[in-house]
Amino acid sequence: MKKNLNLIGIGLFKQISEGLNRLKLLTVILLIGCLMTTAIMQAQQINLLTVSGRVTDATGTSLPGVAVVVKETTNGTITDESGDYRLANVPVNSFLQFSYLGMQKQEVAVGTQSTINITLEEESIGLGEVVVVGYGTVQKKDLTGSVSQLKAAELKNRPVARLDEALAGKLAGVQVLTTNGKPGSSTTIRIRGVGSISAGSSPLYVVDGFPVDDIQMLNSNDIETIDILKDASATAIYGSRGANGVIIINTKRGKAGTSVVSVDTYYGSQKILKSMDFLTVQEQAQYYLEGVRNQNLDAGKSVDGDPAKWSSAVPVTILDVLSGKNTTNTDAFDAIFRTAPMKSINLSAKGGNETLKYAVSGEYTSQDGIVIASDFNRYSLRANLDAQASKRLSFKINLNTAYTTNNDIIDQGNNGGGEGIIGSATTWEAWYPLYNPDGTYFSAYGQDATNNVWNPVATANEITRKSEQIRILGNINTAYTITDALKLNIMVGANNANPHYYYFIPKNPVFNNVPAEGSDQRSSSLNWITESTLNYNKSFGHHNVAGLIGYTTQKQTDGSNLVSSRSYPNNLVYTLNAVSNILYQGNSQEGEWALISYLGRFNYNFNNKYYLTASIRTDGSSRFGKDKKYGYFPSAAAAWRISDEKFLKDLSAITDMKIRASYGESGNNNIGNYAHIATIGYESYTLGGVATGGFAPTQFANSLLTWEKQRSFDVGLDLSMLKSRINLTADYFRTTNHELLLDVFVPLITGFNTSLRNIGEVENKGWEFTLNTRNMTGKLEWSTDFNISGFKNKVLKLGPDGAPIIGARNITMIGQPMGMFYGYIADGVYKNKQELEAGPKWAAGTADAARVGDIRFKDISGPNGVPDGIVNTADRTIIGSPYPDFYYGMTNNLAYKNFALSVSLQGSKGNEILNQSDNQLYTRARYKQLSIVKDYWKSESEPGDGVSPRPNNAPTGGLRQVSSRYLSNASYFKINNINLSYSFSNQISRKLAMSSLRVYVTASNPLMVTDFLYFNPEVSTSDNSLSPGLLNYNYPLAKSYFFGINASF
Amino acid sequence: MKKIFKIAMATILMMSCSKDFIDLVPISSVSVDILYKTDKDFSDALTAVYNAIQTQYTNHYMFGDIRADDSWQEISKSNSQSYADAFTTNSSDALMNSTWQNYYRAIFRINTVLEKIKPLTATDIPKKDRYVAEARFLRALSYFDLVRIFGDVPMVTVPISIDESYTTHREPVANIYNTVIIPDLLAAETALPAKYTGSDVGRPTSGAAKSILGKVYLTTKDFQKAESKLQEVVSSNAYALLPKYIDLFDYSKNEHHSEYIFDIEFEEGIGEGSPWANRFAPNNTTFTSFFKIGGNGDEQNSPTQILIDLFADNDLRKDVTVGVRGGFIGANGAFIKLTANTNQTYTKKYIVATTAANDSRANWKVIRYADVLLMLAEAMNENNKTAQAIPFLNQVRTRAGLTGYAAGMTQAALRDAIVLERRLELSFEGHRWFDLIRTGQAFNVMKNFGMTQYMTVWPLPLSQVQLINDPTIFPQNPGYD
Repeated sequence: MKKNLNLIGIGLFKQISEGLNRLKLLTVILLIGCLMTTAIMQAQQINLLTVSGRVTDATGTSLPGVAVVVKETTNGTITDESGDYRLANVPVNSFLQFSYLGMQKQEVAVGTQSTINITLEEESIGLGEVVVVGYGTVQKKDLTGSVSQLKAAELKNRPVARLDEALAGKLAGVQVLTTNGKPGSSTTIRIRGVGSISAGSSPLYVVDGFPVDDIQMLNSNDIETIDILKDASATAIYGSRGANGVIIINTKRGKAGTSVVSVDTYYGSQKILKSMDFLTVQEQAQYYLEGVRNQNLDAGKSVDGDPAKWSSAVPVTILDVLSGKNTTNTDAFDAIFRTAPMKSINLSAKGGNETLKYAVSGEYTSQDGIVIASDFNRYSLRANLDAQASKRLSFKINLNTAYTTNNDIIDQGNNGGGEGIIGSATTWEAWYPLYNPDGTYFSAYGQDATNNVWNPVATANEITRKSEQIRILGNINTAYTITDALKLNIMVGANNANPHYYYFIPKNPVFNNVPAEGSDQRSSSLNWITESTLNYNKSFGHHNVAGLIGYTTQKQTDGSNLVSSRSYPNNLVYTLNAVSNILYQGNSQEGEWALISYLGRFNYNFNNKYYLTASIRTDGSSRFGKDKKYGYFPSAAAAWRISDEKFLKDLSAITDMKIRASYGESGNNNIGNYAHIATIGYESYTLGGVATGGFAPTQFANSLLTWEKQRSFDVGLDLSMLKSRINLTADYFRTTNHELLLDVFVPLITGFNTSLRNIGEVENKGWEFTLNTRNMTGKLEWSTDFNISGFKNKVLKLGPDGAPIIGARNITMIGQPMGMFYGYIADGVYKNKQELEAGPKWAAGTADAARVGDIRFKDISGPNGVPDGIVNTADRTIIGSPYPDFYYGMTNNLAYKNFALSVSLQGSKGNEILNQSDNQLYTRARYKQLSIVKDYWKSESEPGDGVSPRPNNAPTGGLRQVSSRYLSNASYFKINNINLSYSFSNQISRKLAMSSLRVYVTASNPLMVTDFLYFNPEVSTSDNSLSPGLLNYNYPLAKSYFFGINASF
Repeated sequence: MKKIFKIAMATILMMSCSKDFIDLVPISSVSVDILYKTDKDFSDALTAVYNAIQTQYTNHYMFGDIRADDSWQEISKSNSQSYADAFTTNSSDALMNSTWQNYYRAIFRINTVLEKIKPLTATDIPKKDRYVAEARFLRALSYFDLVRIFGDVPMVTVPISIDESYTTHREPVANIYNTVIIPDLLAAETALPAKYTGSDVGRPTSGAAKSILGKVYLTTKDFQKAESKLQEVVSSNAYALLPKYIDLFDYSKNEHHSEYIFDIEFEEGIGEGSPWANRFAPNNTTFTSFFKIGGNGDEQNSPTQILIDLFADNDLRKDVTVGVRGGFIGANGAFIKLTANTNQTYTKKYIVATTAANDSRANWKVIRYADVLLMLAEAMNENNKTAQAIPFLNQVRTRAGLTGYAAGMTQAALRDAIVLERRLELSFEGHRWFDLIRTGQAFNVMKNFGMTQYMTVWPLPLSQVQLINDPTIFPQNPGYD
């Protein structure tokens, strides 16, 4: 306990004494480096000049931010807002290098000139770009692995509260699913498929070098680049955390030169993107009545006379609706959905000089949810400092703190009562009001003609679920240039999160609770890291060599506590002092994990033509059994720039062409902290009227428990044509994930339900294409980014005996993708007696037997493996897939004079969603029905649409079984974002005392084309790989319109 | 410069870690190896056994009551209790799985206690004998329930490995009675105390072991032993009927009264509450607010008209057992009608004011003295001591305000009278179905309710059949394939 409270520094010092041996090699290298440094450092006596000038592009527009450096020195500056620069101490007869992203690097002989104006030519897209890889950067042209990058410029067109939302549709091989529309909720990101059954499939985030688990605290204005490592050549350096891909986020840094103060702000309004259609109140009442009639007929009861007097009676409410006596027509969606504002203001300042650069920012973002009572707010601060302490020593300091608050609602589910607001509103019958005439909430509980749902408005407005969180993420990176070729980096950092959650449900007749209830939950996690790396970079003629070795440790300590009470005296005070120590639950827990790693990488290329990369990482983790504590994760890759070969050199159409191949291994260590130990759980019983605590073993010990391993193979092509007007990147990959952690079911007579073991193997293979084209480059500029990807997932091994894992609605079996939808295939309705008799038969001879007008299921199999004319569990089969055949995204950027237009879209094809609430939503006649059942079976002469069964208040024929009837096609095409901006000319912005001014309007999700029946075709109630693609009254998506300003001073 | 370099070097060296950096042990739990050493450890380990059985007994009515003819799921839904009522329970029913899991979890915990305590002496563990006896009592109770629900089941008496669990076959019921249930109870009756005080009240006593053993003998039709064992309980004079039947279900009073023999214990407000106040109440806020039941009613386990009609008008047990159809008698004695769709019956035995949902203090009565008296009467009658049996039956009957049976009944008439009395006295306490099975009457009585002959036992959980996947070791019960 005490240990956890120590400061990081103290924790580090504790380890000094024991570790002297480990880094002997490193010490030697450092000493050699030190000697070399001394040798190279020779003072030179030369004449010096001050050079100034202006940098412009081909059209004459001045270029701010161009780096101007004296060749082979670190002496340099950056052009200011007007493209001007001034650089002192330039030796006579030296060379100046001008470099700018997207422009060809230029080198100019200085001679004795004091003014040098220069025009930079556009560079072929991408090739000059720098890409961030694990523990370093690499020029995009030198990549041997598969890495996708997104830059700040692409982020500023899309106002988002969470950074991950902005990735949607942008990158090949990266599936960003907005599974939940609730403000502040995370997207589900799947990089190249799904590789784990139970250890999670979410990527690792690395923010400014610090591996973290969540990026909710990041302000998207602060982001410089997002790089996504996809193949093992790139991810293996992250070892046991790399298997799901790695997302590296780097934030903006100050540049030497004029300081810039910027204000970025937007305001927008959101409303529901897509709703659902229901029967009208009259239709629903009629449906109900017919359902009760069928219920009576099935039971052999008479349906003559007054329906209110039938054996199973039709509620008076229904008859009143039909007779026109009750004209209530409540639209509960109207009551819970709203037009909600979203706004953000960001203030930042960047600047500095050669020795100290800064980028600081402060942000406030506020998003109200489109469902009442839900919102998300973030206040964040960032300070990034770069200090050049001496010629060889520099520091980078990053500090980010964020406070987020969130009025939470239960965003899914509803099973006859409960706080799922969307579910309550979906099932709220239109004939009941939401309020009583006296203004109090109307309670549907125990009413005659409804399902027992909670009043959604009361739930939203009266129940408090609030979360708030403070996060502090900071790290310091010390870089020491030992020689020009050898650099040492030492990083230490800490990440602290302190979420707080409280819940209060007041006493209110509508909730039918006796006293008010509440709970208060706080947790805290402290994660710290140390990382030392040594980088070597040197060219020997045409031989370019780079190397990296490193050593890193990371540790996290988590603690949480929960206190709750059901004994509040009144509704006035929600904190638990009000309950006079009459608690219901009190709990606190702590846990920790630690990771110790060694890593190395070697890069070699010959004349930028032949490339070789190899890397290895060793991870030792506290989470694994004593026999399997350490794992090794190697990778190798090669690339060949074919365009430099003689036989292609003359083909002028090809600007650049490179093929690459990689193979590597990475891992996944997302299991509980102590899963390998036979731990105990605490249980209680009451004796003598008091509670007595006890314990029992909760899991088997498993000293062989180890990480999931991924083997990944990738081949890719990078092609640039027609002077880089057309750029194509294509990749094919095959990954297999081995030793998957699986909570294997064991016979219950052992006393346990499951045992965690490394059994299971899954394969993902697929392809991805990214195409960038510059369609027009004149006054009207038009470029297009297009990406399309697809993958096939397949389970290769499962459990000790290969038995499938069958969930309520999904099946995971060998030879198929994980979590396919599983159930019966609905094959229309039995339209008449002949069809019923023809079969196949459902539950013949029982009360549930299928009757005319009921659903007919397909007879797939029988006890002998052949169709037997009877539908029973043998006929359950795979009925659909939650995985798309392919998904794609496209962004078009147009610029004309000061106007810029960006239109991005995305889509997904071939996946389905299974509605797990449908076995209520449109089965039993007393539940509210979707309008698609409108043309239901009425009689043999009026069989309806052939797929909608007869209404029944006590459904027969297996209607409530999971079947393809509840599948909905989730293919969609959607315009993600349209952004139209206007940048004021320098004259105007100068008059306004600004250096630049841009205004824009944005439409997010303005249009979606889909056959999907419900709110959100990307929905997935669970993050679990075994049960993807399930819908359960989830929070809808919004479409929104924004107005924004970017101004710099 | 050199200084800085030295600092950098020092930093690197600092960061190297000792080996135990990644040897972390749990903070909020401990490894099993550390425990099962002290007297307190074993007491705590037994608490977890009770916990597993307590979990199971929240559903005991689905087996004992809803399945049989005195109770039904009047508001039919797609859930375990409706399937149990309608004899449509199949092997994938969650109730089958949870029942199997709860009992075998309890048995595993018991076996662990017995194995770990074996090498320790009474010096190490002063209460060793009692712990062993308690554990064996609970194991007997678990297996007694298991064989009555599922028939042949795996007989596990020591902790087993995963591999062993795949090869442990279903043991014939008779073997389980003879090797586990009866020896365990015989051992328990000798070693358990006659009475507990203070915070031990609620643990099984010697009398509880004898009473359960009497029921076991009755179930195995060993009427001689049943009679003598039950006679021991009666002769001990440790128990007596409460003067008023209604007091048995007045939860404001002490539940450990003279008639109490063994309960599964529940207590409100401390996370140990029972759910039946909610589960058996009509789903109606007028109702739940009148009776001050926190949370909603779940309309389960309603009395059938058949049961209601059995009660004589002057039977004091009627109003305690059965509520008024479609409403209740309000404070001023007037009938308060609920809405049309709550026109149902309900049992009042578990209705008690609660602060929060599913948090009532009502215990589950596993065995009480009235049951012992009726069983003794039954055993004597079967042993051809009809005349001597009648007074025991009459003790129960007269307490309910009815006149006792006169002497001179035939054996058959008394048999019927005892069956009837058990229904009137013990309905909604989890007995009727097991009585029907025990007396071989289940199919005759229940065939009109959807029962097929093979349904005297329940389906084994499909999950287990599929997992073991070897019909020679773990076959499904006939009819449930």
